[in-house]
Amino acid sequence: MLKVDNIDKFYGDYQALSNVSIFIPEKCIYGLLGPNGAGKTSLLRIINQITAPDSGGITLHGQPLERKHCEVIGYLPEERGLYRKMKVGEQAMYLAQLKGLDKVEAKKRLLRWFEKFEIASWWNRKVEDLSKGMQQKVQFIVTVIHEPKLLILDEPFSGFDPINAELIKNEILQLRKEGATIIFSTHNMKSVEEMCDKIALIHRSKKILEGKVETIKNKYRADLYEIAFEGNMISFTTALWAGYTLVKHEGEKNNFKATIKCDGKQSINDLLAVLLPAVKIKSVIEVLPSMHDIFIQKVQEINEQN
Amino acid sequence: MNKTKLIIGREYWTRVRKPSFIIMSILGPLLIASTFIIPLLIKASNFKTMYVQVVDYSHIVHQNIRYYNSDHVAYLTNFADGEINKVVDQFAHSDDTAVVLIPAHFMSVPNDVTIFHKDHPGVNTITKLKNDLQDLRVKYAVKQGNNINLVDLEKIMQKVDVHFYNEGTALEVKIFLGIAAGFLMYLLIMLYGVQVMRGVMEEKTNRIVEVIISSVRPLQLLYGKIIGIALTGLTQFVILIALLLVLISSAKTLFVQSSVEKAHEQVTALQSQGQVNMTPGEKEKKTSVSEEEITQYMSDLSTIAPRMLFCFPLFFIGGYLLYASFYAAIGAAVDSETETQQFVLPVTIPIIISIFIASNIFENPHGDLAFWTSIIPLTSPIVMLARLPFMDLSTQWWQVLLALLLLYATFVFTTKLAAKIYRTGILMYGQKASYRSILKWLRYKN
Repeated sequence: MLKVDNIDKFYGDYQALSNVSIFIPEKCIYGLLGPNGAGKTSLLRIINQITAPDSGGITLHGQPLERKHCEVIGYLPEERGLYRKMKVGEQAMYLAQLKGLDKVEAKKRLLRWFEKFEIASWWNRKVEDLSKGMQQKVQFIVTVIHEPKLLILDEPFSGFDPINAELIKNEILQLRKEGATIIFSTHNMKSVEEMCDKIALIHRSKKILEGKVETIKNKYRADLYEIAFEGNMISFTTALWAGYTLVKHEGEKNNFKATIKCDGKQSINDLLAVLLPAVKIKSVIEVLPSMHDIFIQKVQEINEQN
Repeated sequence: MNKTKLIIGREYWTRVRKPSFIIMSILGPLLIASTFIIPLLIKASNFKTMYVQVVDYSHIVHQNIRYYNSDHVAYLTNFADGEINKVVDQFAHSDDTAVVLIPAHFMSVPNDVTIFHKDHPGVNTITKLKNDLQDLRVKYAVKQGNNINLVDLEKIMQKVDVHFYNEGTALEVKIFLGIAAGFLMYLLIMLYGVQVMRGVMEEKTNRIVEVIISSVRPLQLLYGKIIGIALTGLTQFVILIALLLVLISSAKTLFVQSSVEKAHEQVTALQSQGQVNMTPGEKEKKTSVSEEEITQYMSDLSTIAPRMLFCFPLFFIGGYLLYASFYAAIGAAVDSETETQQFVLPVTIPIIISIFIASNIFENPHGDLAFWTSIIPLTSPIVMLARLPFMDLSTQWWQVLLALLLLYATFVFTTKLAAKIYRTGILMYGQKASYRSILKWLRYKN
C-alpha cells in the first residue's frame, strides 16, 4: 500500500530523518513509535506532503505520492485545533470541502457522523463553546469524513476521556474493517499492543526496529515463565539447581508465584520436569516482553552504543 | 525588601534585554524626530531657485516685483508686456518654473491671476507669490489713493488668489485629495495587513493549520487568505467611495440650500433696516456666490477624482500584497501576540515614514524626496497617491507606471520570501522566533 523508501530530511544542519524506509501493507494498523524528537512527526508530515523529503521517495499503491493523493489520505495531527470563533457545522463543512467533497455530500456525511457521536445539537454553536473532548470528536470526524484509504493518526487518544477513547478506538477498528489502512503514531504502548499489526520504532532520526508486533515480541522473548505452585519455596529453589534463574517470587505459606528464566538450552518441558517432583504446579504462563519493555530496551541499547 | 528587589530586577532585565526594547529605544526617537525632519527634507530636497516669469497687463507689479526676489523665487519681468502666446511658447522652451499672468483688472479683481507651470509649484511658492502680489497691490493703492474710505480699504484688502492654467484645479482640492487618499491607503494597508498577520497567527496558535495544509498546499492557504482579506479591503473601499459620493452630493444640496436661505435672510434683514436696496437680480447674484464656489470645487474634484479612483485600487492591491506578505511571515514566525513586536516595528516604519511624507508632499511635490519615495515600492503606495493630484499625467504617466511595475515586481519577490518563512514557521510550535532562526528557515528546502 504505502512504501517509504530511504527518506532523508534535513532542517538546516539538523537531520530529522536518516535513510528511513518502511512498508505498510493494505488494511494494516501500523504503529509508529519513538521517543519525543525522534522524527515521527517529520515522517508523517512527509507522507502528508506537508513537507518534502530531501532525498528518497514514497509510493502509494505503486504510484509516486502526488498532490491528488491528499484526497485519499486523512490526517489527524498531534497538534490539532479548530477556528474558535467559527460555528461547528460551518467549519466541518469547510474542512470537508477542502478534502474534495461537494457541499451536499459533505453535509449528508457530516450529519450522519454528528448523530453517531451525539453532537448534532452543537452544529450551530461556536467551537469555543465546546469542551475539549467534543472538539476532538469534531476533529476526528473531519479527518475521516472523506472516507480515506489511508488514515494517519498522530496521538489520536490524547485529550479523550476513557469512554471517548474507547469510542474512537472502536471507530478506528471499524474503519480498518471497511478497508482503511491506518498509521498510528503514539506513546501509548497499551494501545499499540491492542491495535497494531505492525510497528516501526524510530530513534534519533533512524528506524531501529520494524515488524509484526507478534514477531517482535517473540524475537524479544526472554524465556521467562511465571509459575504458580503449592508447596515449599525451599524445595522449589533446590529443584532449580542448574540452568535456571529465579527472577522474582511472591506469596506466603504454601502458595507462591515465581518467575523463572531458563538459561541456555533449557526448555519449558525441562523446567517442568525438574519442578514436578518438588511442588504442585497450578499454572504456567510464558512472560512475553511488553512493547513498553521492548521500546525501552531498544532505545537504551542504541543510546549505549552511541 | 530583598525579594522585592529580586522581582524588580527580573521585571527590569527581562524587558530591557528584549530586542524589541533595544530597537524601539533607537527607532522611537528617530520616528519622533522624523515628524518634523521629513517636512524639512521635502522642502530642502531638490532645492533650487524657481524662476517665475511675470506678464503684467495691469502695469502695477512688474516694476517693483523684483524687490521681492528671494533664494527660493526669482521674478523675471522681461516678458512684462509680451504677447501671451509668445510668452507661453518661449516658456515651454525655457528652464523657468512658471509664468504668472496678471490681468488688466488686477486692482478690482485680485483673484484672477493665472499661472502656467511645468512642475507644479509647491505651496510655499504659491503662498509667497500671493503675498508678494497682495503687498504690491496694497502699496500701489495707497500710493494712488486719496481719502481711502472703509469700502475702498475693504476692496484693497481682498485676497489675491491664483488659478492654474494647466488643469484649473484649486490647490486646496489637490492637497485634500492627496492627503485623504494617502491616509486611506495607510489605514487600509495597516488594517488589512494586520488582519493577515492575526489570521495566520490564529491558525498557528489554534493548531488548525496542520489539518488544513494536509488538504491544500501551504501557499494556497497563504494566498487564499491574503486575497480573501484583500477583497474585504476592496469591498470596504467601494462602500467608502459610494458613501462619500452620496454624502458629498447631499452635502452640496444642503449647503447650497442653507447658504441661499442665509443670504436671503441677511438681505431681508438689511432691507428692513433700510440699509440696502437691492433689485431681485442683484439678490440672486449675491446669493449664488457660494453655489458657484461649491460647483467649482465639485468640478475640481471631478477632474482629479478619476485618476485617483483608477490608481487607488492598483496601488492598494500592490501595497497591500507587499505588506501582507511581510505580515503573514511575521504571523507564521511567532507563537504569541507579544512576540510580534520586534518584527512588526521594522515593517511599520516605512508605512509611517510614507504617511509623514504624504502629508507634507504639497510643499514640494516634484522634489527628489517626493519623486523617489513615490517610486520606491515600500513607500510608493501611499506617497504616489498623495502626489498624484499634483502630477501632469500627460508627461509624468511613466512615473506612475514605473512605481506600479516596481511595486508588483517587489511583491512577487517578497511573497516568495514570505512564503518560505511561512511554510516553515507555521509548523514550528513552541519555538521562540528570532531574526537568526528566520534566516535559517529561508535556507530550508520546501
